[in-house]
Amino acid sequence: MLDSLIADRHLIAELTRRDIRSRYVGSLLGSAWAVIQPLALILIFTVVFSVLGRAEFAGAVFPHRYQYSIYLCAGLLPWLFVSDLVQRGTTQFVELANLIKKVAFRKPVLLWSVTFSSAVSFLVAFGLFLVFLAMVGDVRVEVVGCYLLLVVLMAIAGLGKAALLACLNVYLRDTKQMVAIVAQLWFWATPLVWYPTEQMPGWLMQVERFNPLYWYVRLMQDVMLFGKTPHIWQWLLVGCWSAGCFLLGSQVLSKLEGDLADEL
Amino acid sequence: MAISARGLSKRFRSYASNRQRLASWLTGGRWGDGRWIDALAEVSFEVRRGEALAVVGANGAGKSTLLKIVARTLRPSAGSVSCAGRIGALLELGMGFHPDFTGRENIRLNGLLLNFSRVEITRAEGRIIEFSELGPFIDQPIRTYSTGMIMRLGYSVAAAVSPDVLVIDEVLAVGDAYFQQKCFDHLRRYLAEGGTVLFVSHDAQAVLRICRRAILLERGHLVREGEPHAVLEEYGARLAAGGSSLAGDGRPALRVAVRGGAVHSGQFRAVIEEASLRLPDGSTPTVFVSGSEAELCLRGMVIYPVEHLTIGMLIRDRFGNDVFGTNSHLMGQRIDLQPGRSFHARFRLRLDLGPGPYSITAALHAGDQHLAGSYDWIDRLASFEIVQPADTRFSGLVRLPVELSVSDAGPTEPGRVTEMWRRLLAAAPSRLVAGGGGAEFVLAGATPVTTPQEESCWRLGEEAMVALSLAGPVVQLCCRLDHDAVPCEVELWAGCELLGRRTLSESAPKWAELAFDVPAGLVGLPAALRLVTRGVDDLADGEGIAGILCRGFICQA
Repeated sequence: MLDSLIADRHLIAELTRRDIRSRYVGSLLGSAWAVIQPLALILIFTVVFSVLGRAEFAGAVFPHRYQYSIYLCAGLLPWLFVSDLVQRGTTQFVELANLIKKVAFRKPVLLWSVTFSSAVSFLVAFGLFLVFLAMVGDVRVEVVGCYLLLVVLMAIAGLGKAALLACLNVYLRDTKQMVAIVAQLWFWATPLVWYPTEQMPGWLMQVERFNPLYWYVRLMQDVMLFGKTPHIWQWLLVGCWSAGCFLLGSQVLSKLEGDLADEL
Repeated sequence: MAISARGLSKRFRSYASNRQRLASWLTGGRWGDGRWIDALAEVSFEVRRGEALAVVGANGAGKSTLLKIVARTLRPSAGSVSCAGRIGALLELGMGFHPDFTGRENIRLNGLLLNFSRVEITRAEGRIIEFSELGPFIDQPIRTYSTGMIMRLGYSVAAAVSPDVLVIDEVLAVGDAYFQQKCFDHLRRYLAEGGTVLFVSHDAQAVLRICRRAILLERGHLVREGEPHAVLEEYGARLAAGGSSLAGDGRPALRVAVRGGAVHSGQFRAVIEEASLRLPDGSTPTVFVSGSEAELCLRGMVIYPVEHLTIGMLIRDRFGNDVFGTNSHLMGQRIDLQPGRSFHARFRLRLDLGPGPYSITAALHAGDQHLAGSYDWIDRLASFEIVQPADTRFSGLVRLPVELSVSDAGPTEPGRVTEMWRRLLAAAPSRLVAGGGGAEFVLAGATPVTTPQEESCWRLGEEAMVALSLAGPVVQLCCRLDHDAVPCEVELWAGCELLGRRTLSESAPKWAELAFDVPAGLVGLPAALRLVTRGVDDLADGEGIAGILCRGFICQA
């Protein structure tokens, strides 16, 4: 998968451009949707949780009025990026069956292009986030650096999963539906819009310890909210998970790559 | 060897449902009724450089699977295939074009998919667009294209990048006759330059036009390899034999090759021993002059009782086209022959055929059932050649009785020239600007292009003609040359009258404004601008396209 990233970089760039364009082609507001969508989501969650749900946790944990929004953005934006990448990546091979059956090329390019086009949407939203941060406080380089590194690691893990699921989806078309449901479940199971407090049942936090995405999200929120950079062992933990996912996905893909066209 | 395939096999596992597939996976193949389907079995062949190999066979015989394996979109289950150099593949229609993007964007994407560098694509883009002759459609989304246009683009992409091996699957048939001819010309040139072609087609004529060798696939097996006409005949005979070695009436039909090469197929209740074409004096030359009287003689015997014996003959040209055929049933003759009798049949006919080699096919069958009730069918039992008579030469497939007389009908009145001229070019606008439509009045393959300075214009071929209405006293055009080494002459004509001639020598990035004065009497008439570039052939290969770029033609009131 890595060899394809370098060897096919021009093709990946073209496919990425095509993917971004085809998402907004024909719509009136065009690429403005890339900004409007995450903005609307953040606004909804901010209103729902910090206005309506203030009594539960917002006031206690976040003394500052903007802190919930920062907390929310820190976890939600990368989450939207990676879940978009996994869900669209899963359907790539089936959607582009026409191409796979007629032209011989390295299949990972299709996943890389989805990754980069999702990343572009993320970067646009992240840019807005940075502007917001700069307005309400200070932005430190090492904080942003740490944060982006965590996002990259999470995306690498997501890419591995996408590769695995994309292959599975070729053989079992139900995969796509299951991924959508699991993504929803996982979204609510991970503290993204809610905050883990003392009042929550103890078993919940025990379960969260085994949720790898919680590690990433927690580290991202900590670095953005409190400027807390992760420990070396925390880096190792998420690094190993990302590497593991990526290796598994790319191994499965390189094994099945030649047989995919049989089933499409 | 350009392509060398050894023992290629392809097996698919087919399940009745997805549930069966899952069951099979989870139990390691113990449950779930997956059936193995052999799409290809042990196929080996080689193709040399400069050679075209045709793959023929019925639907589902494995032709497309084979091509996909060679094009590397499928992986063989067993065996290996090696190709020298780059492979260009044209598999079915579309080659993965994206419907929402324009032809030009799809060219870029396809080039990248085919592993070409960006520089190579930019260099090839102009050639591809020119070859496809899609004109202004190149900047329209592919979904607005007809299948013929998609095929034009697909072929142009696959061919313009001159791959070492070109794989073509049954796509040329959708192009119009003009573009098909263009493709065949291109293929021939490509082969002569050392290219290699692997070609699938059901069109026997197409196969014979470009291939010198063919292989026949039947249910995944390679059953015959050899000269295209022999392979096609075998294919035809297998089809006639019902594909399953059964005659249509359920009785088995045999297929045997006798010494000397002719292949008999049928039930052999009655057989043909010999066919010959004779002149009235009884001699049997191999070359006949078109228009000669001749006799087609068939000699044979009846072995078992036959019902409604029909004796038939068929003349085919070198492409395998049926030129003429008839039989005793169609001619209203009843034949009564008992087992143990021999027969002599003579078809007397005049060989009003075009020049070229022909073959004679003979058949014995029941009634008009030449497929179902075939007693004996022999392709190419004999062959002969037709040459032109020395006095009356002609071209084409047949010689029709013809006479010609031409007479001078006096001088043409000037009004009629004008009238004809007006009728031909009545719709020509007085203003033609690149990017603004009306390209059909810019003849000779005008391609819309954009210069590096973002100016839109037309690129005209070596000799172009532009039709324009003379709406005012001055015709202006804005154009320039690709290369100043190759000057261009611009002439303005109205009817048979030359109104002016200018020589264009400005080249990039300067644009020249040329003007012609229009005599007052000609205002309102259509006119033709001819632009001729001379000496294009003197250019070295690396210097790119030499032509004329035009931004517009205007004749304002």
